[in-house]
Amino acid sequence: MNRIISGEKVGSKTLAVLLFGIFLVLLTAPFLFELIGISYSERAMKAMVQIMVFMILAASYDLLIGYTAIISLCHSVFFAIGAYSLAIIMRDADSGWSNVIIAIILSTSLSALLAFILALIGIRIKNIYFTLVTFALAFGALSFVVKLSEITGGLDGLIFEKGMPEFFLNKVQVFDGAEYRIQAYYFIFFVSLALFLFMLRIVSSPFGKTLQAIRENEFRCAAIGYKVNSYKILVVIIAAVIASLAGILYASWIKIAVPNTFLNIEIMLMILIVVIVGGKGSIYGSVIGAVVIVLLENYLSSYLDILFQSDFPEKIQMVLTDPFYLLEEYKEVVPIRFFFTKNRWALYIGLFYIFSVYCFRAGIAGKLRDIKRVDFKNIDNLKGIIKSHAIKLAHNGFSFMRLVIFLSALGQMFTGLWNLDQAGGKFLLISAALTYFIGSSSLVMTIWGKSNES
Amino acid sequence: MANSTIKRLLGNKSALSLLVLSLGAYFIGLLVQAIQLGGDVGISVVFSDWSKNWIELTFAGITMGFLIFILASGMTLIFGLIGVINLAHGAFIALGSFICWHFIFKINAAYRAVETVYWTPMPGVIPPVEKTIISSEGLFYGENIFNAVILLIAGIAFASMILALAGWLYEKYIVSTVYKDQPAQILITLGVAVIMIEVLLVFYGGSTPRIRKPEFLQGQLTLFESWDSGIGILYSRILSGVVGLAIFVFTYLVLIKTRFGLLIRAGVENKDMVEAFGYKVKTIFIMVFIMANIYAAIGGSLYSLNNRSLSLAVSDDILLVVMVSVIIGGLGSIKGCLIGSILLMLAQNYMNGIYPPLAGGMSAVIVMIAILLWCPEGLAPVGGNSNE
Repeated sequence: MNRIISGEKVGSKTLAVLLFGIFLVLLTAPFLFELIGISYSERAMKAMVQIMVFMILAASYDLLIGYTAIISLCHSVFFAIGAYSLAIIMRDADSGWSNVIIAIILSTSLSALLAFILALIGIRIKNIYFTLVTFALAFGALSFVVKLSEITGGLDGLIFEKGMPEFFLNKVQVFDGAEYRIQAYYFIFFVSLALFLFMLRIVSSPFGKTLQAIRENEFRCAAIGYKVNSYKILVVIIAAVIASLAGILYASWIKIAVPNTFLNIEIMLMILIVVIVGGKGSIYGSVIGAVVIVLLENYLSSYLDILFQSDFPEKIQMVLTDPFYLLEEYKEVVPIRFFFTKNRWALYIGLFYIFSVYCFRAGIAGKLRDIKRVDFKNIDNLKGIIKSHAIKLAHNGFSFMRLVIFLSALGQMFTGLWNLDQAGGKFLLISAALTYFIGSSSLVMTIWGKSNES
Repeated sequence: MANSTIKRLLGNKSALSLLVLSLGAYFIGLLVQAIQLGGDVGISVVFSDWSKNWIELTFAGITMGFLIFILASGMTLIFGLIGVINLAHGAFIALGSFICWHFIFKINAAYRAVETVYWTPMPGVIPPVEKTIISSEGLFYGENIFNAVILLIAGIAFASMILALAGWLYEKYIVSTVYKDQPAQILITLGVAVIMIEVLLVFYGGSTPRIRKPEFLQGQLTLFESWDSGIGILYSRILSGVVGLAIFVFTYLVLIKTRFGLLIRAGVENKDMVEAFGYKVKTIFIMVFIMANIYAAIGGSLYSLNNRSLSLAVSDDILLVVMVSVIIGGLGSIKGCLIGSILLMLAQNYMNGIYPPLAGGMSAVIVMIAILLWCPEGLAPVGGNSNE
């Protein structure tokens, strides 16, 4: 076991159990879904594939930002290169494995070349500059793909179901129930498992340790005699190649290549948030992060929709815009309830970004590893640790609450401005100011102050 | 004497790049058109036509550059002083333009005589107020220039006030939690951008309402009327150029002459030292955010006036241009920012004249990479001497 994971320690028992559980679920997914009798099994399978793809994608990105502290924002470009090279070759070709292999060779060599150029730019341009340059490159790549619509299909993308080998399309009946694309699923599973173990091997090798040394102190590393630049070039190329392989895997499942699933800035953000929620600088973290974020992305909107169908929006609207029930007739005209529709799911994704920065800065893996250090025999110590955790949680929670209060004040202000020519407009402006000041200053500041004392 | 002047001009990266870009684009354009027409006739026709086009494109590029400078200067200050990549700047620009024009529409609604509906809320959403009407006809009350100017200024001032407040809160609750943590900065600022765009979508829907230019900004100024029907420059472009120039001069004077500017410049160079001397860096940070957001409001309003439409897509389109001009200008450098934005807009305009598919995002990226490989610190970095 130790050899399989290359001696890279998980670091926490809880984390290990979680990882093993995720592994088992992914391994048996089609059979498990059939046993449980899950509805919308197509969608669930897609979520599983997405988890695996984002796991390796985020792990390869973590090699850059977590292990080497190279903050690049054009990782999605390599993801898209894989998908689009498969799509462009498959669109016109007859079905056959040779085309798949050509696509793999083409995309890996292309992304390796681009990554090499990117790394050369990165040697000349450092730090925050490099981040901005890569961000602009990602934007540029997007506009390039959209404008070259003859080759890439523009915003509509490319559908290439015909050209795929039978292997990826075959459906097999499971337990006399629904049909699943088992062959394709296990192909993706084993390839991503192999890539994951390969990345663990990289991280625990001397090469990986040197990368971490570069992250800690680049200058000292160079002074000892390591060729820092060649290490950086190599890691950027490795990460890019793995990302393009992930692109091929995902495209082979969904059989379409569109900017919205491969190249948008939202996809880049999703990779980033998987790494941050999972925990920077830990390959295992990206597994947890991928599970959390992909499940949220796939299922949050439908659950929110159920919530929004109830009378919840009206109650929230009451609380946010008119907490004192003074303007009964006014509730019809304020647009607060239009925040609570399925169309506005991006709003909640944005809120989740802010929330995760407030609360999961160290990542879930990092948190679980911290807990491991608790000495359970020493009760005083344990109390102290629980207390400090509770205080930290309360502090973060109250910061988040203040943000919510601020947002509600903002909502009142906007609705007030919107209806300024009506009777209640000015009143709402005043109440917005009141909410903000009462909420932030008296109520929360006292508790916040208390948590700062101890 | 002349020799030294040329030497200085060639030594100056900014001037050199501007010169190379504009002349290069001119000759490439000439060449392309001469090849297309062919022969002596082609060349003689093309020459006069192209010099006219070239002058028009250059004027347009410079005025647009000044406009982009208004938007980019805030970002470069934040970037240089605080080291935060404020990816919500584009969304603030969109917010500013929407607030400004909403205010103008609201005020003007009381006076308008004819109503033409250009603006319907998105399908599936019941309009919040019984009917959202943005009038195009008779937008600027009467023919009175004075009233129109006052209304425009009032709208921009109102938007600036709201955005200044937003900037203060934004710094206090969002940005101050993520200093020195770059991935978190990217995530949280883009999260705020997403939220702001979604909120604007709730209020205004997805469509792009049109703006009618006020009377005094319609039409164009024609120079050299005797020569080939003259060279036309739009009045609205002139306005944005003048405002951009005024803001450049104002910001430059503030940075050079006042104590506040001194602190900002010192903060860009060495933040810890400023703090060690006992100045409240935190307050300076907030002031810079407020300044940046006021510029965003002014620039956003003028930008939508120039485009004659309000659009949420502005936040993405502008963010790329603004970011690239900040990068090629140099970290935290106001002068570099101006040069960068003019350079970028010139490149975009020439590209539009020569080969339209490459204009926009691609031309910006190409210019950025070319310039960064030439001087990685940007054209006019704060620390270095750009006229060496």
